[in-house]
Amino acid sequence: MIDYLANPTRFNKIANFILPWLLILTLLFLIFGLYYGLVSSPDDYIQGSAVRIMYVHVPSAWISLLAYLSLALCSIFFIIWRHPLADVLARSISPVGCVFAILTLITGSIWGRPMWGTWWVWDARLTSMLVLFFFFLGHIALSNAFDRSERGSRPAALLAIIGSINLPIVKFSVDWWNTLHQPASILRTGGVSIDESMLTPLVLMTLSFHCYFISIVILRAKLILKERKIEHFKISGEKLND
Amino acid sequence: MINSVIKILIRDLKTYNRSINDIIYIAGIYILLIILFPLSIGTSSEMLIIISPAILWVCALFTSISILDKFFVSDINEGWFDQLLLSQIPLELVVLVKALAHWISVGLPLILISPIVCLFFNISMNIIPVIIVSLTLGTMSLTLIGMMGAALVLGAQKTNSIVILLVLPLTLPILIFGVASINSAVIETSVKPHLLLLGMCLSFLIAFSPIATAYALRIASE
Repeated sequence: MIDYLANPTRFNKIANFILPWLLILTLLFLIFGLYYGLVSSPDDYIQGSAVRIMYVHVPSAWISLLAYLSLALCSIFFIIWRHPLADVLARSISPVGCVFAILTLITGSIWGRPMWGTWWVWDARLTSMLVLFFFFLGHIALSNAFDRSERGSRPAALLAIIGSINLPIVKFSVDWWNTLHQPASILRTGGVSIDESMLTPLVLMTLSFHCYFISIVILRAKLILKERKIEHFKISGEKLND
Repeated sequence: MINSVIKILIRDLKTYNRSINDIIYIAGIYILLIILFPLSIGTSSEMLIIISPAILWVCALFTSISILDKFFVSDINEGWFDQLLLSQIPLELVVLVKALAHWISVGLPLILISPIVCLFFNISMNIIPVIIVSLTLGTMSLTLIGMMGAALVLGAQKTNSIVILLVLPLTLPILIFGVASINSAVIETSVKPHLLLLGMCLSFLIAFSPIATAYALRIASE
């Protein structure tokens, strides 16, 4: 499968086929998710309307974890098999993951102000999320730090793999330490502990965020492939014909 | 092989410590960084006692990070490194020896002057053994982490700022456990769990960091 996709032309072809569908799905899920989230779901009996921040906060937190996981996987693929596409994907994932991590922190902070009475606490979940953001930042910095951009690919991949040690810490920080942040209520042993009326918009928004994430990554990957092609033509002095 | 390893160790110690000045510089940076805190926070000694473990550790962390970016640069520029790749000695072992040499010339001076620094903060004398053990375990781990960062940025531009951006997030657990160990000594609770956690980080890093560093060095030498 990976071998099959490693050819940039083939990747472009498949990407062009998937992209419009993904964007349509993003929009559909987003519209329904927003409707259920903002209009049809009930207020929380303690938190009131502020609970609706959850429909942005939780999906973006999941996406940033997923982004780091896929970044680490791409890096492993790249280091072991040196697939150029894995590198292109890693480079397209890290800025997107970075944005979602900062979005998680910002929405969490806005949610924390009315609920906990503070914008920020130095609790394990929040701190490890901040560290995750810095790993994304370090990956972006390192992969762009070299004269030839390809030269930075393998150091950055190695950094992503080293940094993946933070991933279980983010996920399980709420179980390992006593934190102000609530423990997991969806992906936990003993089933989902959230009411259906709130679960529906959450699931819809999550699906929408996932589709959005994948389509942005594909778009960025296409862009990087084009940039590399231009670089290549500049060096070889041939004419561009598409 | 043991002979050549010892030779590498001696060579590195000689290059890091060309003269007694090098050690004095490091000790000077450490003490100057520490002095910044009483001067900026205020000299009321009760508050200084509370935050002194944190100050000791943050300054040790920053001192050992600030001299990282030259870790491998001269070896690569002088061509010593290419000879090493051709030789029989595994690169991972060489890297570990280099880390040891770096620690002896950077970490050890910090540890040796830490009792003097404790006098600045009126820390009681019976905590000093804990401080020394926690700084020993911690600075060794910091050297191993820093070495990975230094190897990753080889050949990059603006290495100094990037290496700090890469290394600092990785050093946070060491900082947390290190400060916690001294803090629990100050409030007279058991320091053992924190020191054990520091030891766990160190043993993990001794196993993992040479492999990652050697890999990054091989990339850089291509």
